[in-house]
Amino acid sequence: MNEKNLVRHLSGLKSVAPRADWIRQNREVLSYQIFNGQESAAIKLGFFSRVGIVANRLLQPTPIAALIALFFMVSGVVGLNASKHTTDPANVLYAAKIIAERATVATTFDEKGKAKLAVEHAQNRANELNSFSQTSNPNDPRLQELTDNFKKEIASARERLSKLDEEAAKQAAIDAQTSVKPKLNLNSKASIKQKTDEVATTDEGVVSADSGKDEKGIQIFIPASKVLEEAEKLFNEKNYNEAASKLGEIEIK
Amino acid sequence: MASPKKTSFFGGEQALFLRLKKHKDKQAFIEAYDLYIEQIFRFIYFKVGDRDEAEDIASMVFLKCWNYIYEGNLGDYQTLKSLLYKIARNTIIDYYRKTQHRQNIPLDDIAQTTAAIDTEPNPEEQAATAFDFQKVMEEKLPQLKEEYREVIVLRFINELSIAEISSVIGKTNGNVRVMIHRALESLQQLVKEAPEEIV
Repeated sequence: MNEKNLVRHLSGLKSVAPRADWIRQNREVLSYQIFNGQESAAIKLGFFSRVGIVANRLLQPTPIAALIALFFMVSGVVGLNASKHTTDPANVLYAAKIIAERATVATTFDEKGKAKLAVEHAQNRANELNSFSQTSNPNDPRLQELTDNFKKEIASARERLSKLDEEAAKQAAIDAQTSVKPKLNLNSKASIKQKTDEVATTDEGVVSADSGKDEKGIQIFIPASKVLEEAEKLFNEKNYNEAASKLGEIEIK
Repeated sequence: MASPKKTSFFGGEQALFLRLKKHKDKQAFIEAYDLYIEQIFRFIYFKVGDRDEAEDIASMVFLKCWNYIYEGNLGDYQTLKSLLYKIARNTIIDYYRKTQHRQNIPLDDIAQTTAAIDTEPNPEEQAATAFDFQKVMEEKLPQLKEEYREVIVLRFINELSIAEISSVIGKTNGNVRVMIHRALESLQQLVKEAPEEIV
């Protein structure tokens, strides 16, 4: 048999074919797999199926922990924000406000920052008392509670400010000694004393209240302790609003 | 026997291929199934030598092919036919790995082996052939080396072009021509051994 005949006979093997019923059945199976297969699983997902998938993902331990943490953070922020406007000491939010203020002081490690907060909190108490006294009975025990709170804050502010003043004075003395050292051999002890006093006087403004300028246009600073005293005095006279304003004048550099 | 091929309205294999490539057209794939199922089945059948196994593998080939198209991997191919043949080849290899069947019937073992191809003729085949030469070919083909059998089936039974064969088996056109030539020589040699009255 030559090659041509062989090829002719080989082409006769085209008659080898799968069974017609198998072709048809397999076609149906394939159609089903294609038309109802992968794509439909993605496209035909209903609303509840999608919700189910999302819920399933969220119910994993990590998302649950994250959601709980988020809940506490959000509720904390919302609660604190709401409590800022509360002036009634009997209100739960007021307690939350005080706790938040204490927490802020506890997490502040800078002495100047703590002093600033003490003054700010004293100012808050004065403002609270100002607004609360306008709506409450003069014999309301809550007025006394607010007064006590103010005094505590003022005492705390005074203590911190005096500490700052002491530290500032010490530092000024050290600076004065350093700055006059080259002249030590040339000048007397008296000149050192004079220099130290000058620096101390200048640094009095570290914790002070700006009281404007004198008639010569020179800036005048009043020590913060004096401002506190004045604020307390105004408070005792029940000028709560002015007391709060006075406290607002204190500037801690 | 072979059912008439249905092609798309727009006609042609290239049109089907473009519909699949651009739109992942499911209907086009079903049309491609109608167009290629017989030749893919034949290709598998002459490799595995068993009708039932060939049908199972052919089913897998078309499903794998659809997944391949669906995942957007058709870009590397010029024709759907070459993709189908490549998937068929790989599926047969996987199939034999899993079932640990022998894919080849080496020429050395011809005397000891019975014909690997399922020789049970269907009634249509019996009616179509005047004498049993087809049966001889079916018996002789499995005795060829695997790579020769493959190119014989692709070239002379399924009528693929040299270029198509080279893309399916991953060889150059020149190599394919040489393989076809040698395959025919080997087959001629085998046929000569068949009873004189049949040949």
